[in-house]
Amino acid sequence: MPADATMTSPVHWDLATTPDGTARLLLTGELDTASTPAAWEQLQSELAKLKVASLEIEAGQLDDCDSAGLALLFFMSIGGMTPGAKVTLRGLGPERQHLLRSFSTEDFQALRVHEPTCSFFVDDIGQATWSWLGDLRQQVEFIGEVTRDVLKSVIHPRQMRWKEVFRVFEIAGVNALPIVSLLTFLVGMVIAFESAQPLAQLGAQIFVANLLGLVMSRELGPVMAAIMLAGRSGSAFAAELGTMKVNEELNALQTMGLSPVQFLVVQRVVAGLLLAPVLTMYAMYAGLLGGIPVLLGLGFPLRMVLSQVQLGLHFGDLAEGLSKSIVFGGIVASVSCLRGLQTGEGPRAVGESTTRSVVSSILLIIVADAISAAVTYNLRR
Amino acid sequence: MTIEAKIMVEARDLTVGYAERAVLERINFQVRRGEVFAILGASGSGKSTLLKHLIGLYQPIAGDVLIAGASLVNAEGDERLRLLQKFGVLYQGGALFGSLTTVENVRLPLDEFTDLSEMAKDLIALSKLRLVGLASAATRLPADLSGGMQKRAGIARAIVMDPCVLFLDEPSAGLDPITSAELDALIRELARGLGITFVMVTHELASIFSVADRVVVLDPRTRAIAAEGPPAWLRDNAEQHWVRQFLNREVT
Repeated sequence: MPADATMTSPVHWDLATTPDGTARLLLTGELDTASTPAAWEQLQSELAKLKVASLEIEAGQLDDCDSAGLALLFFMSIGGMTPGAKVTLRGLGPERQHLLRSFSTEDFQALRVHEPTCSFFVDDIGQATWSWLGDLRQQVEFIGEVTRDVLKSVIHPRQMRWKEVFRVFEIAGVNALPIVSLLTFLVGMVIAFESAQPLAQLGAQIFVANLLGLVMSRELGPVMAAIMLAGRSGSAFAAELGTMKVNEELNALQTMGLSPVQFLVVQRVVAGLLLAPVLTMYAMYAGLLGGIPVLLGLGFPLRMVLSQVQLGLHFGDLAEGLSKSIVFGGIVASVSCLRGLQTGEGPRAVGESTTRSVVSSILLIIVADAISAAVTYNLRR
Repeated sequence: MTIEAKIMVEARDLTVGYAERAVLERINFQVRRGEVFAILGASGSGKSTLLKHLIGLYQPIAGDVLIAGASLVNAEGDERLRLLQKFGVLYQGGALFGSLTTVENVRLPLDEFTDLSEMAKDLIALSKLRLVGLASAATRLPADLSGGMQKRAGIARAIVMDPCVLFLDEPSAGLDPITSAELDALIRELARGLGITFVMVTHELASIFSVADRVVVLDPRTRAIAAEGPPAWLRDNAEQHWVRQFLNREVT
């Protein structure tokens, strides 16, 4: 054994060969998790240099031999270091022999067969498309089911669990006001700052107020409120329903003859539909309030700023923003509930459905907003 | 080897609880190498709390836990890490990582704490899976395993670093009698064949009479050990009437 290995490793060996091709390996010391990696490498390189017809391993003088050491002995005993040679292993106590018998080349080969292979990208595209189509079908079915049940609840309002609606209203609405205020206030401020400079070049800085009013009421108010609803409350809906699915609470509902959509989803969707316009109104005001200090700082009196906002805003702008917000609220609540109900099995499933709920909600909000922008532009012409 | 060196787990004047509220007070016991030791008690008697303190998840209010003679309570840094590697833990549900296959779960400690080659790690992990009778399930995800299989995989992961002590939290909970008996047989085999010391928390009497060499029965009223000894002996000879009733499955 080389000197450096002797210094760092508590395992020692003596490898002797005879002219008839027999190699005798005497192992002493401790063949454990710490010493095995280096010993494995050294022995492999030493035995590779020899032409061995048979290998005799004497392990009886080992003070300690844990699973790592046994893995090395097993590998040598199946001829892993001396291909074609006959290998005999001697000296292991009954306890270690019992452990050695649990090592198996068949298990190892079976594991290698199962190692993941790289898939062809066409397969991936096909699978992704198929899964997307399946998901789309589920969404359409779900929207149909939710719409039917919501209409049923509107026709028979006593059947609605209003207590649950108000609970969701409080959690997703009232509790969200501070963060919605802060965010839209700051967005209003940023828009005012960013638009003030280019408008100053045209001598039209006062129109920052008009711009702010229009942007907040038509676009940013509803979109910001919906994104906050998706991130804060939609994710909570998905996690709540997902956990209920993992805990088999949804199965319990079904076996009691109750529809999970009627029992859990409708309340959240109704709360989302009622809540989104309220949050949007709030976001609009907070955004305007964020722009006012900037305009005051630019030297415009408050009365002038307010009158400019009043002049620039029409009822149609407000109605556009609020009607969009109702659609966004419906999207966020229903998509989040759908993702929650689609939760799979295992501890990661709830996390995955929560992420999917936020991503799908935001994507659909932007798609719906783009469609709405195109439609309203053509209507205004 | 001295008698002291054979003691693998020791609770010394151990008072455990949450914050300053003691659940069990001044607990003392010793577990010897190769012994299967059970902590028994009714629901709410503090079995799981005691186990969580024995494995170092919580700091005790007072007293010490010794693993192979070294204090777990006072150990820090590398010393604590070395001590933690001396024992394995099987949690009630197996606590397998859902994103990893069974063999990857078992391999995880080897990946994190050794310099072994990939092949050596696979060989060791597969050998442990074969020991617990799960070699054919190596590439399956935990979600595809039954409750009993998940517990076996949990044992395979717990013994992959060759610990001298294995702590089991309710190993038979939620298992059918046949699977439970198979698990008991595995515990016996690992204790007798490999000399692993077992400390198990359970209220499954069938399992205790089948595998345990010695038990302690916890009394929630006095917050102390009510009785200690071989289970069959305690069933007939325990001083307290309620302990005999408990071990005889008699309704009070």
